[in-house]
Amino acid sequence: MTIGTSARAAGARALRLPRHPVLSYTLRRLGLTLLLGLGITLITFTLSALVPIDPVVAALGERAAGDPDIVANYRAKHGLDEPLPVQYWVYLTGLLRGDWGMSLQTQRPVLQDLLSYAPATLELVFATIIMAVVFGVLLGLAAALYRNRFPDHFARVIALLGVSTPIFWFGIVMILIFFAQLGWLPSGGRIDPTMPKIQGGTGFLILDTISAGQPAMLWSVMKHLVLPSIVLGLSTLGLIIRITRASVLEVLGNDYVRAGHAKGLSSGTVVRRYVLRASAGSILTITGVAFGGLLAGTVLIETVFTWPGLGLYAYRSATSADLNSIMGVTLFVSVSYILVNLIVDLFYMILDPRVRLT
Amino acid sequence: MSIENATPPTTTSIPAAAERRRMKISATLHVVKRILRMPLFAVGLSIVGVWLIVIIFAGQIAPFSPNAQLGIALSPPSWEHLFGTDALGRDVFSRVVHGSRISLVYSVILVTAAMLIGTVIGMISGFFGGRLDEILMRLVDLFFAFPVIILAMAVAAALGASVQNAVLAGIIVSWPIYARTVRGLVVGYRDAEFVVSSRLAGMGSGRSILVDLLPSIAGPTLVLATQDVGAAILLLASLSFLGVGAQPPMPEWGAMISEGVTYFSSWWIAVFPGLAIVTVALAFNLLGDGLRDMFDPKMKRSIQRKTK
Amino acid sequence: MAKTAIRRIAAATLAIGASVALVACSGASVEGGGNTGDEANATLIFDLGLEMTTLDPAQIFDVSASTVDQAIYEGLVNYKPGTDEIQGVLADSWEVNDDATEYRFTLKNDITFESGGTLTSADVEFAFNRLKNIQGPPAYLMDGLTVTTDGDDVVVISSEQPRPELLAMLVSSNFAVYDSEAIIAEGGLSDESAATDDTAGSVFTESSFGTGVYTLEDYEPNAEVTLALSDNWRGDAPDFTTVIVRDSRSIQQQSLNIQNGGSDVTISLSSPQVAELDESKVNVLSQALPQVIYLQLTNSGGPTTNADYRKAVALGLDYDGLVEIAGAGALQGTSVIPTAVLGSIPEDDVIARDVDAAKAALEASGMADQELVISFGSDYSVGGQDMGLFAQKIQSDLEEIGMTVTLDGAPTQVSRTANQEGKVQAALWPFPPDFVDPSQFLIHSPGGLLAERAHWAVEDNPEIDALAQKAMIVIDPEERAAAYEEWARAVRETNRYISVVEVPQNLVTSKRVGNLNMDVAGNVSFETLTLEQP
Repeated sequence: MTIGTSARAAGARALRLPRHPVLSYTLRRLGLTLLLGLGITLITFTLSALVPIDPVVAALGERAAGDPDIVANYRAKHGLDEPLPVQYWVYLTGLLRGDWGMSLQTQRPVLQDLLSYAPATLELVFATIIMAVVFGVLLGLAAALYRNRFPDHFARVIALLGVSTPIFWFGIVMILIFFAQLGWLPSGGRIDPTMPKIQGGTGFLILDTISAGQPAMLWSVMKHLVLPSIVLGLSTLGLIIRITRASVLEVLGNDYVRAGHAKGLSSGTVVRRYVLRASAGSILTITGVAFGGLLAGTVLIETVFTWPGLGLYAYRSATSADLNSIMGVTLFVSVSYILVNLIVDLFYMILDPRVRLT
Repeated sequence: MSIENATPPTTTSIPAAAERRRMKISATLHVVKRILRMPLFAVGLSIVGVWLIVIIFAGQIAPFSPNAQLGIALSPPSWEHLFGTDALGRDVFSRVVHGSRISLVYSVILVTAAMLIGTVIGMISGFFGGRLDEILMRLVDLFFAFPVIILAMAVAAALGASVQNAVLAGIIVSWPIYARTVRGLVVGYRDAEFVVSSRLAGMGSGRSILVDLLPSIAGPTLVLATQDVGAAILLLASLSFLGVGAQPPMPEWGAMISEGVTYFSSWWIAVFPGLAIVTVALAFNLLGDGLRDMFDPKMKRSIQRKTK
Repeated sequence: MAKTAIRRIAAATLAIGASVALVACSGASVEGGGNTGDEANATLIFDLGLEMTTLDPAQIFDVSASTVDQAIYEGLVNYKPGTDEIQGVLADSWEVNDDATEYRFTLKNDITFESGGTLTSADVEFAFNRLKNIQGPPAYLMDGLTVTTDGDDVVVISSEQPRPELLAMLVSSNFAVYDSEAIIAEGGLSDESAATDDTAGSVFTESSFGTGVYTLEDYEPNAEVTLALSDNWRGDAPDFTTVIVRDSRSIQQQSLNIQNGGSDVTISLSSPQVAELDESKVNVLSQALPQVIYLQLTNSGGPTTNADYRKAVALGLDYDGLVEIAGAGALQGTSVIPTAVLGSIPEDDVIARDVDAAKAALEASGMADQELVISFGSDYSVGGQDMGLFAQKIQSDLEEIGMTVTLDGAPTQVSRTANQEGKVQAALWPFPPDFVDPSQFLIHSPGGLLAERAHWAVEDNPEIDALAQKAMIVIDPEERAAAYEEWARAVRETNRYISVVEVPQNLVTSKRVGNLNMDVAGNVSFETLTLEQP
């Protein structure tokens, strides 16, 4: 840690050069991200090395794992015969060259795995965020405007249940109701498996189906997204309801809003022009914070809905001692979380220039 | 969970001892009155109370031993078996009741440990500042950046699957929020007059932390911890569900759900432990909300405005 | 006001522009346009936990990979679908010498690979030698075997020792034959350098090089594998022209899917789960699997080193109760050789529970105060049965006779690692054989791989080792069965492996699937399933 800090201090001195405040702030944060990335790989590596699973046992069958020649061969092939610090060093230098190592479970480069599973997870997370923000803001707004009346109580109950319900259990209950009982929605997966395969594309099935001009497939993708995104978004929804309600209440008490009312502007205009704009900042921030939780929550949701994304990949990697994969997925998720929050903060500054750079 | 940092008070004359005692009593009375005026808080308090009774008298409340295999597998809820029986013929009601001793108790241990560790680190960081503060806060950033479940899963997998290790994993992912919050509070209070004056009066930094700072940060930290118990229960249940937490035959609620989902027609096996989790988490969230309303100056202001 | 309006329009334009750009950039297209109703009907969706890491026949070792390879590739021989009768597939005929040390296979003529080549004996030789030399998980199958060719049509497999099990072994999908020229072009090797220099392993997940009914259309690890009718297939077209093997780990989801039209086939449901299904919505075929779940009591330390203690465990288990938990079609195991396999001890010759005798044995052991730790894979299941369920029942049974039992459930790979390192006192596992033959179970004999991990050496029971050595080389089927049964009884006497229960495999399909069948190994042949019009 000491080396890291002095390096950072030196970095910070070097980064002090650019005069533009936003730019220098961004650079400083990016430098910090690098440092955090390093820390994340170190911790993940240490943890994974502690897992009492011999990767050879996981990757080879019963008999082969009992054959010393095959085992030695396998270890040499995957660099598992080196001491741990050397393995870590090899991994780090590989990262810098864009080589994230090979996954033991898919026999593909980890980076390729991450890129092929990320769209599934991100599509789910984005759908979740959109749902949570739309419903969260509406409910939170209603709660604030009709304080202590029915909408407020309703929103409060939803928000409370949202943070008190185990999502894996809720997911199962939803599948039982909407798939098994009512037959309205599918039980898992991203698209009806009997539909033709999409060639090329981004991996974001909504974009791909639109681009391929397949409304029926788009419909299927949307239907598959409904349950997982509702379930995953439950806790975020609760958070956004609370924040919206609180910040709207605060804004409503401000003088300029009262002045707006006094000027004779309609309530709708006041809400649109002042209240939502003023609350946008805190809603944005909380969404950024929630993003990390959502990415992590996909481990549970993807297991329940067999959603072929990063969460399922992380789960399988952790339970089969697939070192490179678990490192890759943790690094990928953490760094995207850090970057998303950086972007959110920058947006926030643009929205509200009064925010000081700290 | 709370994002707004409490702002330090601006008035800072040091009251006399007698005056202080009088203020304390009236404050306590005030709090009791306030609780009565907040029905949701009272509801949360009662649910927690009920569960406390269940924990203490689990042996008396549960009609059967949680692991007794009674020979009637997968029987639906009836008078004899209120919540039905599971695949091994164990009474689900008894298991849910005994499960409270695991899920609730371990969650509280988790939160307490995380709170203590986080508070100590946050205080050190905030009080001493400088290079140490910088290092500690970067460490906090590091843990914040980790995806919670994935880190907890990795820790639990590394240490071996058991409920104790799941708790340890929970502590590792939960302490940073306390460290950050407490540091924020300490930095806010550090230069407040009442702290500065006692230090001028010759109080050492250790004593100063204990006497001046601890009482001021205890409130917000406890609020945070109360809300966190709900989250901790969910985390422990999730880890068990993923197979890296409590192991059979332990009647842990998450593990029970995971066992129950393979028998979808026998819905009672998974539904009741799930409901147990929801009620407990809900209760602690209600408590936490209520406490926050009491401590949060902003909220106080809005309440005052309302009564005006 | 005007300014705001302009800004708004600008923002909206920007947003729409960005989305259009994104969609345009995606460049996605759909092969063959939309799907018609017929096409959808001819698709078979198979829900299965996908564990595969490769589709290279020389390296696969799990059920899901072998399920897929069975559909794409063929070997010399295979079971006639739904039976235990071996028939020629790529081999037209074969001859065995009297001491079972030389097998001569004559290949069928004019069989072509999907990748272009025509089948010759060189392809077989290449595939088998590659299996041996690439040093993958199944390489041991080739131990002691030499493959040679005699002209383009004849393959000779010879060995020093008699190998009566060879035909059964060749059924395994590790002995699949593929287009050697195409694989050599992809960097495939069959000589000793294969272990380090072979680079063809990954091409098997990109396209197919086989002669089978189906071709690999799409491979997405952890998600799904799509198989389509091969243009190259020489026989009649199957009813189901597309097979999607889809990853599904959740038993509950599989049950729901199969009843509600979400899938067509699953083999992962246990009998009690099948009993919960709505009979009007599914077809079920239940069949014994050639595996037995047993409790292994090792020499690693603790009470299990004591023979009386082991006897107490054997007499203390409530076998009837365990079988009941496993549901319809389950049986009590008779020995380490499953009852469906040649050489097993007959079904009715089992250990019965005797609580008093068990208590007496426990007392005689003087180890009643010791703790018994049973290790098992908490996420491992066989035939849809959770190991944890049996472990908890066993714990409760043994506590009844006065033992102190602790369960040590852990993720499968953790348990397996501990087992491999010989650190386990007692373990609850099934042993799924790589092919259906009693020789597979000799791994349990003293000095065998599994016994070695339990610190059970040849010196401990040389007489049992002698029985094993004898059984290995007997050729006549009847004498062979007798020799293996004698060995199995001797192993059972030691109470080192206490056979607990054999669970059936349940093939559950949607109503539109007919002609359900499983061969003796539990494999379903997709091409023989029929599409029924309700």
